Amino acid sequence: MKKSWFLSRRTLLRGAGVAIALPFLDQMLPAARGQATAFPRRYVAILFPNGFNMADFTPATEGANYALTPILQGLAPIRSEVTVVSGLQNTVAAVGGNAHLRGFASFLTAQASAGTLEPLVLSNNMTVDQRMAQKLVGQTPFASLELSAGEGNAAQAAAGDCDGTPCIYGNVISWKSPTQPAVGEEDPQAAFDRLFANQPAPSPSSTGTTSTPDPQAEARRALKLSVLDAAAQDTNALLPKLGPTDKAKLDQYLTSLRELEQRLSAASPTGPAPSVDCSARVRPAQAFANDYRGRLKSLMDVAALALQCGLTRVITLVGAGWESEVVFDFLGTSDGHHGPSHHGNGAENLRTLTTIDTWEVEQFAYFAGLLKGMAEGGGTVLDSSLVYMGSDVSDGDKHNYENLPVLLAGRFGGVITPGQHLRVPPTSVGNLHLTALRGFDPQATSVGMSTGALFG
Amino acid sequence: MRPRYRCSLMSVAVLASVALGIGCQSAADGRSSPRQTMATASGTGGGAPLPGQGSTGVGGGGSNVGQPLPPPPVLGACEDPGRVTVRRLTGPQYDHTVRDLLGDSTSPGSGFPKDDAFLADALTVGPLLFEKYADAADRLVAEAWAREEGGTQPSGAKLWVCAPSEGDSNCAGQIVKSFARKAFRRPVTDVELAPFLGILGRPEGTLADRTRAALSSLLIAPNFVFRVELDPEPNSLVPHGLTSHELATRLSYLVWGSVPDAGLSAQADTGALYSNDVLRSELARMLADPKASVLTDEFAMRWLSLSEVGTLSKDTALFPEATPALFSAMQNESRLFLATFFEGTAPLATLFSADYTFANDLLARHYGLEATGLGAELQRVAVPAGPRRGILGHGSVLSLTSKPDHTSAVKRGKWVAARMLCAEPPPPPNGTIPEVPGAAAATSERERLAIHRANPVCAGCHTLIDPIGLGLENFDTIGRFRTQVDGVNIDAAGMLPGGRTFNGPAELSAVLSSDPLFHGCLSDQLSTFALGRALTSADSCLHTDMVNEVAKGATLEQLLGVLVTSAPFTARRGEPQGVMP
Repeated sequence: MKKSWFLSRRTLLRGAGVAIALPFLDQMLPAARGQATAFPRRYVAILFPNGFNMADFTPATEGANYALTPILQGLAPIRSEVTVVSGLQNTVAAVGGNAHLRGFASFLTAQASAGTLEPLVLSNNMTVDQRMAQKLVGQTPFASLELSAGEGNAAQAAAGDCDGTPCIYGNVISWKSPTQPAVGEEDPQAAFDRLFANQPAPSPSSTGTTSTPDPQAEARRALKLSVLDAAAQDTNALLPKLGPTDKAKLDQYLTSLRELEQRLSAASPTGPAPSVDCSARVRPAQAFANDYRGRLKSLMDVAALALQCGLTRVITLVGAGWESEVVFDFLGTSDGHHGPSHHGNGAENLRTLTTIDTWEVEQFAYFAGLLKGMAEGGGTVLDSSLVYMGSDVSDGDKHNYENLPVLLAGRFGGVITPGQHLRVPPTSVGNLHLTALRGFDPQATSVGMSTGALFG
Repeated sequence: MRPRYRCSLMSVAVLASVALGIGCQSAADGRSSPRQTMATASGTGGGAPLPGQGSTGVGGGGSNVGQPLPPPPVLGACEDPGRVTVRRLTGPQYDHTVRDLLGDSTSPGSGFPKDDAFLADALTVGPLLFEKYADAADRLVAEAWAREEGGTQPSGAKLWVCAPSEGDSNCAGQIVKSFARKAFRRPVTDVELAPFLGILGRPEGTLADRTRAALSSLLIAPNFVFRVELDPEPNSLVPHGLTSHELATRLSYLVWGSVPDAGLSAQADTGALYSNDVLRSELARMLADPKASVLTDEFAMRWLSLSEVGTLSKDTALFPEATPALFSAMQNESRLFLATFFEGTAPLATLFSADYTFANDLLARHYGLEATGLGAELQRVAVPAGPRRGILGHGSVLSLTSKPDHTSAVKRGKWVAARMLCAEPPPPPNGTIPEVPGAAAATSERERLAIHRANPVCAGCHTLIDPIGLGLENFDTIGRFRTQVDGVNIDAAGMLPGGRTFNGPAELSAVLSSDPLFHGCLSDQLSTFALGRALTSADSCLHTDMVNEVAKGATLEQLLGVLVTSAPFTARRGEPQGVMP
């Protein structure tokens, strides 16, 4: 049994093959760009909370020659890879209760969320990233990866009541099932360790050879699987003794157990081998527990690395939780984020928002830049990727879901032609999600309130 | 969308109907209906044997091997003890549990995804958490095993009940079995043990490797990760008493956030715990243990959202005094103060009026208290009669409920209403905050708020919360006392739901101290914490009993005494098929 997926002979040989073919591919560019379907699609969704100052966000004109607005200044280095979309809406999110939490819940569903507090019932639709992940099970070590920079409303009640909605709705954007939110890892070091715990670093000198299987590692793995199996048996013995809600809870537990079991026992994922160099991987220097800026950047680095090393193809990142009050002191603002987002059209609040929003777009550009820096074939990983940045609401003062702030980076394998500002008549953000989903499930027909695919 | 007012809770039903005229008819009806059925309930519920409580035992799986059978529940007027979903350990509970089971002091739970609730239905297990369980289990067992080898394992957390050696599978089995009893918090049958003992017979590794693997498996098993309570008939609504071990587990997780110790387990083994006297004496013994600090840290501090105050930040250009040291001192002040109630014997109703607090030099100076020579450590200090007395005079509360650069009567009013009166107003309609014409021209917070209350859309809720918050305007953004804002004298007159008026923080605190809504809210919050579920009208007897206890000047021990001997705490029922909420 092969000990590690991407150290297998097949992988290394393929890697070599790609390297040899490079000059040829280079010559074919840019013609080959539009049809670079040979490389796997990647999808990343990032939510920055509290809406945006849309007056300083939306370009005045459409097309390729739009002028970068104050908030979009950070896109300059990658503007040829970015699509600014105006006109998408998610009004179906408005189901009462706290508009931010509901905006989080519907962010990747384009559908109304449900759920109640008393009795506490979690109920949301499966999010689009998890629909992708379902199609990728077994193809990559992690079908999806969830990350979060944390920082949700600090005053949330211990009993889970956040303005009449279960608090969890405002701290995740990914749901695996109606009752199972996928909580994101907040610690970049832990995220790194989780990704690479069973993935020894490839050593460049060993190219073309395979190390001999390590019988001790094999024994440890077999014992580990038996540990999981005993726990699964314990669960199966319990299930018939439980009522429906308890059973659902234990089913969730069992699904999580099986996911780990599957990863440990997977000899070799069935998907295409990685086509990107993954030799340089650096563990985050620290956990950045009290440094929001450092934490977010570090999480983005880990996310990029996960894509680079082929460990996953679907990532969601909560840029900050609901009603975040991160104090952007490093930007010279000291009054939090959610506070000024209720700007009341006050000049000072709007200035603060623009400052924060500009920084957030810079972070989006930073992440897209990381993917652009990864050579793959004759292009870059960004060519096959769709990186979506949005928010829970549009205007943080009105809490509306019309004309959402939407930035896209990447060509998604030729589906998207970036480098322009696209304005569409009021359209469900589900149309964007459907485009994204079709990159993984070509047969998909709808996502939430979608009326068709935005691209392709 | 459900109505936002929690009509199920008595306090809110009263509040809502009094303050807002919102119909909570169903809840009001619900209060009387149990009493109407009292005669029949007490007639049939007294001693009739319950289905499924035959000699085969609860759950039919033999999992209560050797356990005395529970007595039928004493249900009285409120005949439904309710049902709680199987409860996963929270991060802190996980930490306390592995501390007591394995002698671990590394708090692995602090690296788990944060729980934002203690309601069982909100405690999910996703792939990320499960992986962390698996990693933690391997590490915890390896480290405890190494301590055993080095002879440094704490005596209370012995894994080696015999001396293991390669080839001695009998001893290995004993180690696994003994640990399972503690980890599952009840006697474990051979059938249940079989999958875990099966690991010992695997071909891989040494016997020590396999023993550690079996222990690790117990630490990720659902019977460890969840607090499992079984119903004789999982789909039946017929109430039944908890087994003595389930009861002991509820008690130990309520007071200690951890597994029962040997003493409590022994009371469960004999069935002595079924006696209310024994239950109360165990409660008293447990509250005297330092482990009972979870009631302050995991209940009180989180109820009031004060656990993160130390990391608050304010506009330092306006408030150069707002240093991390100050906020840290404020959080510690509240923690020490709350501990006098939740670990000590201070009457709960004096939360708003206690004549003491805790301060160091920095905080005493900040408050203008006449205490000197305190040094850097917080010490108990007297607080003279006035606005600073009680929890509403704490910088933690006042700073938490302020914006970074100014106070917010709305936030403060909302905090008091939600946390202290259990009457959180709904968010603005459709989540939108309408623009309020003329508000910008207002010269004071009071005037600004009055203008927006003139808008009928806003008035419904702000009539409730604003007058409470305005009563605290004498405290600035970081909790300093003041009499003026921008040269204008503060008018701190206010009104509580039901029309009781007050002037300033001291009077507000005095009114709240004797407010039945506060007594009810404290009772309901504590019950919710203990039961892991939202309360319903069927819990109204417990609610009433606890409210009366608080009003009588109860200490925490007295109040918990009522709670832990009640039907909702000592009994449960199943859930019909197909009635998923």
